[in-house]
Amino acid sequence: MKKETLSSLLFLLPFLVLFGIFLLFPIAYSFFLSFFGSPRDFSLSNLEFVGFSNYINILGIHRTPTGWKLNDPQFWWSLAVTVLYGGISIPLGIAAALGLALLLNNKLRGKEFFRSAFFLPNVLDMLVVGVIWYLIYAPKYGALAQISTVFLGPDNFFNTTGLLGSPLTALPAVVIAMVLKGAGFGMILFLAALQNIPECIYEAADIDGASKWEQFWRITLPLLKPILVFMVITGVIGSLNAFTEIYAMTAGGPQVVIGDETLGSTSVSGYYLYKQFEGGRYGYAAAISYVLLTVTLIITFVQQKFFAGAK
Amino acid sequence: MLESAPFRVVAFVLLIAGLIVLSGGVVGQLLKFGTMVVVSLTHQPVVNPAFPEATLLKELDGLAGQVFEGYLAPLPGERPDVFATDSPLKDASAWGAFLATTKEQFGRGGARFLDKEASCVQAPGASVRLVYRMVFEKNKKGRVAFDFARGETGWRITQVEPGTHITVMDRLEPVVDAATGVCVLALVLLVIAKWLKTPAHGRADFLKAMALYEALTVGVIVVLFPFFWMFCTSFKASGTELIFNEKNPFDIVPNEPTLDNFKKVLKIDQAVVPGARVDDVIEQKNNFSTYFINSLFVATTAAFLVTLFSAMAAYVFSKKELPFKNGLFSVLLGTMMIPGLMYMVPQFFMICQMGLTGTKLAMFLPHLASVFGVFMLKQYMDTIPSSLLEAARIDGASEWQCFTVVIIPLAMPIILTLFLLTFLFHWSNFLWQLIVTDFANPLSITLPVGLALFRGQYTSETGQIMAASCFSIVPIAVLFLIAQKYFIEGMTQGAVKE
Amino acid sequence: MNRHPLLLAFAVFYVLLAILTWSQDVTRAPDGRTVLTFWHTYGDDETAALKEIIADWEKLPANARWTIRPIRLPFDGHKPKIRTALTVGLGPDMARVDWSFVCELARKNACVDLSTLGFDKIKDQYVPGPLQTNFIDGKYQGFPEQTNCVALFYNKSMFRDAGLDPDKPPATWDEFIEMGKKLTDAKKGIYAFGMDNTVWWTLPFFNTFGAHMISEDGKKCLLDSPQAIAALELKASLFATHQIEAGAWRAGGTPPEQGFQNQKYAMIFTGPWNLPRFANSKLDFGVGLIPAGPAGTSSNVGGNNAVIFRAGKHHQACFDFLAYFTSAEVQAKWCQRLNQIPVNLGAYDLIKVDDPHLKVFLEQMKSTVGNPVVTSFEMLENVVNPEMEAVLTGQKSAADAMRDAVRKVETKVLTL
Repeated sequence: MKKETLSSLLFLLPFLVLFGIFLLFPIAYSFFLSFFGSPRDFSLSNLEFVGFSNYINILGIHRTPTGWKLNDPQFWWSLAVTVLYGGISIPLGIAAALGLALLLNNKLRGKEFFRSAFFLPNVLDMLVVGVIWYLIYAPKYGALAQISTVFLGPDNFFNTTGLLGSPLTALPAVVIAMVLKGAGFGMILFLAALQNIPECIYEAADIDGASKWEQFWRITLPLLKPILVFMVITGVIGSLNAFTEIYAMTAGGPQVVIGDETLGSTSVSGYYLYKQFEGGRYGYAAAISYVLLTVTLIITFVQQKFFAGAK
Repeated sequence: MLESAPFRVVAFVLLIAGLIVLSGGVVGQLLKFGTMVVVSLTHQPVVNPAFPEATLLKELDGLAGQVFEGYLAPLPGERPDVFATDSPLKDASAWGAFLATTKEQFGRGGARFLDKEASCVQAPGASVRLVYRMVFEKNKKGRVAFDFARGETGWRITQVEPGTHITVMDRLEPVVDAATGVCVLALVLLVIAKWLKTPAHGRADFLKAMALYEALTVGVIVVLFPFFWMFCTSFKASGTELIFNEKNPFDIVPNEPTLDNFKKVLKIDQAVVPGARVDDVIEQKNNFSTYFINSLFVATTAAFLVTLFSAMAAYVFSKKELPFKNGLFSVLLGTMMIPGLMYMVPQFFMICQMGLTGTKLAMFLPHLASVFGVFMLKQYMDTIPSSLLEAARIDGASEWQCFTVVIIPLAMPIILTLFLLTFLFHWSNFLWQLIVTDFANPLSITLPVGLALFRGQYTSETGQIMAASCFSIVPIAVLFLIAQKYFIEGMTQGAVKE
Repeated sequence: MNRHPLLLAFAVFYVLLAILTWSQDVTRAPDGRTVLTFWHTYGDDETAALKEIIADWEKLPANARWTIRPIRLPFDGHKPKIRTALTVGLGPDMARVDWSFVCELARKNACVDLSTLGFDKIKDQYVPGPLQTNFIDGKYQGFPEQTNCVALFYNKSMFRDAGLDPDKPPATWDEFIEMGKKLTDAKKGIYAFGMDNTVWWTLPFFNTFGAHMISEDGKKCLLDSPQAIAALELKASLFATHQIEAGAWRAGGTPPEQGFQNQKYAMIFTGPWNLPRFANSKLDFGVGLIPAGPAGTSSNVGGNNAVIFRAGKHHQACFDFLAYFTSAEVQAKWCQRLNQIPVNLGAYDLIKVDDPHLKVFLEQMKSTVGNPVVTSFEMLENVVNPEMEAVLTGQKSAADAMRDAVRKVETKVLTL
């Protein structure tokens, strides 16, 4: 074995051992669980083998007198909501974090205070943040409702329905709260990475007559790419696993009726999965998580092919 | 546009207005909060105060008799306009005295009649013929309502709902307001003085900086508001946490602060149960401080090990060679997509197989392999130029030296961020710690589980939960303050800036 | 080099911490008796009372062999704790659990059928509503142990302001609507009523209409019965037709409790646990029975039951203790001390209740008929709540929504 490989393995060893023991087995177990029905008792072994029926119940369609229907429309809906949630929150989160980082990377006096202040909400419990935003958004009595009443009169949307009360605005409202909570974390990452960019590159660019805007797009952004990748991937994972914020602020609602299906307008897949798990459908929940994993992998694969082709 | 002087002046005036609003709000609330903390420490809150006092009621009763003496009730349905000039009020000076007394007793707002029309209600019971209700609003923060009832013995006064009394905070309000005013004024004068000192060509930049600061302040207010709300709520009495101030939703500092929530969370008032068979020492030690120390140990150990192992692994993935390195990394990323909920039962099963239930090790062992941590550090290390590492290797540094001397100092801000986030995770990892806790030994209980023990089954005692949250952010705040310098700037700032 | 003092301080601090938390294992000396573990979720005051009752029980000559070790769990999370403990065989001998958990424990063969231990002889002494939550698949699987229900709380000052008699809350739904119209002043944000949408909070509506959610044998969902639809239509009409309800159930809306405390909602349904809190917030409030529907007044059942686990070895001793704990005399003592509602009918005659509000609850409790018994009450809520919300928002008719709810309950909940 090469010396380099050996030393690499030694560096990896503690992590890999722990990973192998405490994550690989549970992952394998949950995959195994996805082929079984609800447990008949509390032991791990007494399960009813159901083959692929969990997967069929999630993904399949069935025939009804009125035509073909999805077996689990709520799953597909939650997937769509998740895509929307990620689609809004990831770019918004990155933009907020990057904006703050650039703003606070210059010679501003008191920047240390502002950096700390923006990072601090990350240490707060998600439930506390959820409760507070709930109170801010509340129609009639919340802060937003009272401000808007001053400018728009009592019949405005914020005062009658509230942002969380309407299916159209509930999801964006949750996103705003989460972006404000999380922006400071991304800001720290970007700030740290910005310091690794040698200043001589900018000096050279100045000499070449590149504008600040060009410098940002041509130099700063490419050098921040690893952090951007991190933000996007953790953003995707965060969207897939989003639960506490939904639980604290909307409980999946408000409900909308499409066709004859009642669907929660903020019921993201993580919330849907949690609800199945909480309700004792462990096998079904496990199957959902593997379907989500597969979907994400396919998207990543297609995206990489697409970008490879574009270049 | 900022080149024209008149425009600059207009912009300046607008920004000054913004400054007044912002600083007024922030300074006002902070001062009020500070006052409240002091008041809560020095004054016992009055629980269900007898207000107004019985003597005052008697005095008002006497005055009421004089005011309405001889005044006959209108017929039911007739509009009772008691205080019109042509009303048969016998003694106008008595009315004046009555008003003066109420004004004195109920604060600056004075007495005010609400809904005169609605106030005419037929009293139940034959002996009373008619009732007038007067509602006094006190400083817009509370109210007291009386019924003036004409009975067999003349006009009497009865209080119809519990009154709100003037608290210490009410009395201090003018002082706080004045202090706020002074602060704001000083700030404004300072800014104006600076503006005047700034030469004309520098004024555009001055305005830009001022606008930037104000925008940042608005941002800070928005992101830090939850903290403020949390602090304020933890001082509110049970049952009053979610009562909103209708006049000003941003004024959330309680008027009757209490330390009850903190005392309950810390079990300060809890005496050892007499006759309890469990060892008294254990029972006494079964409190917040035990939970706190346990959690401090668990979270610190876990955060240290996670950070170390993640940094080592990230170093390999970012800077070293290994066959199938990228493939392995993709697999790791893939496992992040499975929600942690799925791992819980099998992980617990394994911990039991290892015979670790109820130990401190079990509280964090399964969570030591943090893919998130590896990913975060790896991505950051990718931004560190490899040239630095090559230089070190040429100088003859070993692999371990490269790691500890080059990589760790450079990655310090992110390592500290990871440390902080991991600490937080274990500091509040309720569900897992609940499952592995052996409740037969209360001294092994950690903070999130211990705090859940305080929570009642039905009511969410918001005040207590917030008080607990205040305590639980203490170590994080300390950690943050100690590490702040490194946290923000890194340890070798400028290493790559030559 | 400037980081060394910090590192040193950190190391010293850590060593101290390790010493402080090291080996705090507590092994209690057994006094020769066999230990029975009892996991409970009581608060501080209740725990103290429990310890006294245990001490009394152990003093009885018949129980000289046994000692009960009460172990306190947080109520939040007691279900996952017990589930995982049972998975690895570390469960207790008996436990106090949320009423909705008994069915899952029973259907997964975790707890003992009490009739084998002599429960039939004593079952008639319990209040029917809470007793029924232990009746699973034809067997009694747990003791009713502590109970409560919701009743109508109303704000007396708001009643006075509206010209209503503050001592006469509405007795029927018709009166409720009639008074509600007087109490509501939407322009000022004042509403007569604030309600929740979930199944448990809707049970008072269903029960006053005599509607059942799940059939006796647990195989069918009866939500599409005319009674259930009528109950739901009434509930929806309070918001949509009569406009006396504030929309407290909507996502983002002000919850009933908060609206009541802020004197925005004149009436809400809530339980006895809020009596001290509301008194603390200086409200002038009264408590009345849930308005009567075609089936009279009724309410839901909350509270906890006690079960005996199969895995334990001493079922009869556990049974004897729990029977003692829920006997009329002990219940009377317990409820007198803690201001709670007895589960034992015999205890109602033994206690003296001063609080007029609590008296109403004692009366309301006797009218309860029990809750729907399903393996996972969470799943039932999860499936039915959205359909009920669709009715309240007017997006579905009550009949359509309940038809869909029945289909979903039968495929997703009753198959568990």
